[in-house]
Amino acid sequence: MRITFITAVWLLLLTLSAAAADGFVDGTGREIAYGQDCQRIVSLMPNVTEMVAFLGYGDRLVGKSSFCNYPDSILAVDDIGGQIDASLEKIVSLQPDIVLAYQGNSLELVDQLRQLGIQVCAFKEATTVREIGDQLKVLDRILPAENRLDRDRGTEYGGWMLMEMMGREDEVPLDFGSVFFGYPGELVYTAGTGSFINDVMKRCGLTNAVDIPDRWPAVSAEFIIASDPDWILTTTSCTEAEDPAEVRAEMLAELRSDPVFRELRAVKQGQLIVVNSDHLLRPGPRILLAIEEIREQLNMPAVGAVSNHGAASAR
Amino acid sequence: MKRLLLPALLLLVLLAAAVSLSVGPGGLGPAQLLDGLSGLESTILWKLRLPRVLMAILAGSALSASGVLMQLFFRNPLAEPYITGVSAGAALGAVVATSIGLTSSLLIGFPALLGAMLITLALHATFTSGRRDSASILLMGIALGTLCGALVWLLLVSGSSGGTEQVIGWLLGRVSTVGMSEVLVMLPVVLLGCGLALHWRRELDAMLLGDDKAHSLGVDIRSLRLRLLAVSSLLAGISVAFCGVIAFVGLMVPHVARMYGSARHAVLLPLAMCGGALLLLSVDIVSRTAAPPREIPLTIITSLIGAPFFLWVLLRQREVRL
Repeated sequence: MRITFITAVWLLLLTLSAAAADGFVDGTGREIAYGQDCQRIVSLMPNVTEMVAFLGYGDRLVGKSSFCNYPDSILAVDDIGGQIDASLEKIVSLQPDIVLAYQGNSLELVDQLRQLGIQVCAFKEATTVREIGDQLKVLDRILPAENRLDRDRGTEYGGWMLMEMMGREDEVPLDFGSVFFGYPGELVYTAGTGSFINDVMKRCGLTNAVDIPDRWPAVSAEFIIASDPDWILTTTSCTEAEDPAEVRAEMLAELRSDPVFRELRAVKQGQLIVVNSDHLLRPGPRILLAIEEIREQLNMPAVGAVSNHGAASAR
Repeated sequence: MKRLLLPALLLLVLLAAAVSLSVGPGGLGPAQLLDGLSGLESTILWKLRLPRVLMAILAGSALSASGVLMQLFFRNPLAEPYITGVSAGAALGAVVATSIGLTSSLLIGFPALLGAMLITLALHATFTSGRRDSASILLMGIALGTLCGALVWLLLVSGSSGGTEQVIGWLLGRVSTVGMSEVLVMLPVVLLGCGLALHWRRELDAMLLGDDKAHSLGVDIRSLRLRLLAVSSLLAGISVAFCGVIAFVGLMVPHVARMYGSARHAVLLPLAMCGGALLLLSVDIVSRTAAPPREIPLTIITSLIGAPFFLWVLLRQREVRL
């Protein structure tokens, strides 16, 4: 009886692994076939739009979310609405070959699209930079008839991602101390150790001051004061284009005049890192630009090729 | 003049349904409807817009009829599914369903209905335990609703609910649906609930005179109250289950129907049902056309219209009566 059960489980695993070889099992458990040559793509999240454009398939985008603002070449693509107010009818009218969703999109919308026979690939939120790289690779295997990243592995194009996203996480030579993500306040949603920002911190030689396994826990002012981080990592506005250097000066002046937060070690020593919000908060190819911005403010050596390839995302 | 009100409302419901079928971000307008439909246009019309129109009519009718019955049960003009905690119970059921991984609105609908019915049972238990004054039961409903609301937000902020955006979208109300399966589940329930309420119209009229007078007219008040609570919760629960929390419809429409129509339930119930359907159809049209392709959640619009309108009604009348 037991042997029969083990055999059944083994056969099931074998079947699943065989199935996964020709496709990708997405965050909702659906298998998405590789090599589809999708000509009409709808992206429901800005980071996914950036991934698609980075891989060189931006011209195949026929629909994007209201928050997709990069690269410039996709700005004229039809808008399908935001995260909780997306229009099902608009997406259907665009007749996509595939709809790309990410954790944060409504699962009901994903379900409704599938009921209408539209293929949806829904990604779970990456928890590390390496996983963002994995998702790029998966997209590169699903969207075109023939994937490019594996083919171009030895070239600058394919090699950049593999080196930067897949290879650097254990290679940080320095320890800059602890860091708190977010702007200190009474109640702050910060990055826990389960978030990809935690991995960004590690890649910059920083240790997350918030040792909570959640992705985005809320913490109090008391928690921030008690943890007394060496650094504070925050971002520019998500809605307005701002100069990180100017924002940094303003924020530091504000924190230094705050009766509570001026006591923080990071504030006293002026150790405030401000990066572009779209780079840091979107788990897409520009996460490497955020890493470079942080490293720059930590006076670490620049990674080098990243900026050039950030521009490549406009392809 | 009052006799023409119901036919006029029915005509307006049909007109609003026709408008709703011919507007949307999919590029399908009246011209295409008349010229014949392509495969894609046919999908948009029959699988997206028609079910949506029918959901708006059913949910609007159900919420309004539920409001009429709850206001009578509680003898309180403020009673409606939202205030009595029935909507919050349904919301908790839905959030628990998403936290165990359910995504289909049809599957989420049943735990939501269960949540609404559990609140109803608690209200009824309060009634049968001896605390029969309507104020106590209404306060019990408010307390239970607050408790359910807190549990909903606890699940949301702890990240246990699974699909936060889905739940928030649902909590703000929507009638978008795919295909007729949800409509076909909702239709018999709404027909049964509204049909029963109309069937009891004379008993409901007698109840307006007070329990003693109704009893002297041969009405079994205890049984009627139980039936009222069951049907009003069923109607509210089914609409919250499939369309989310839509505020103000159950509160506003019955008052307007009484103001311009009649307090007699043979007239009041059909007027309220048509009024609710018309209101929700109109709100859904605004939701789709105000900022396309974005869809403004329904509760935002019903509250923006409903709150000032209700204040105006309150200021205009010295006393709100049932």
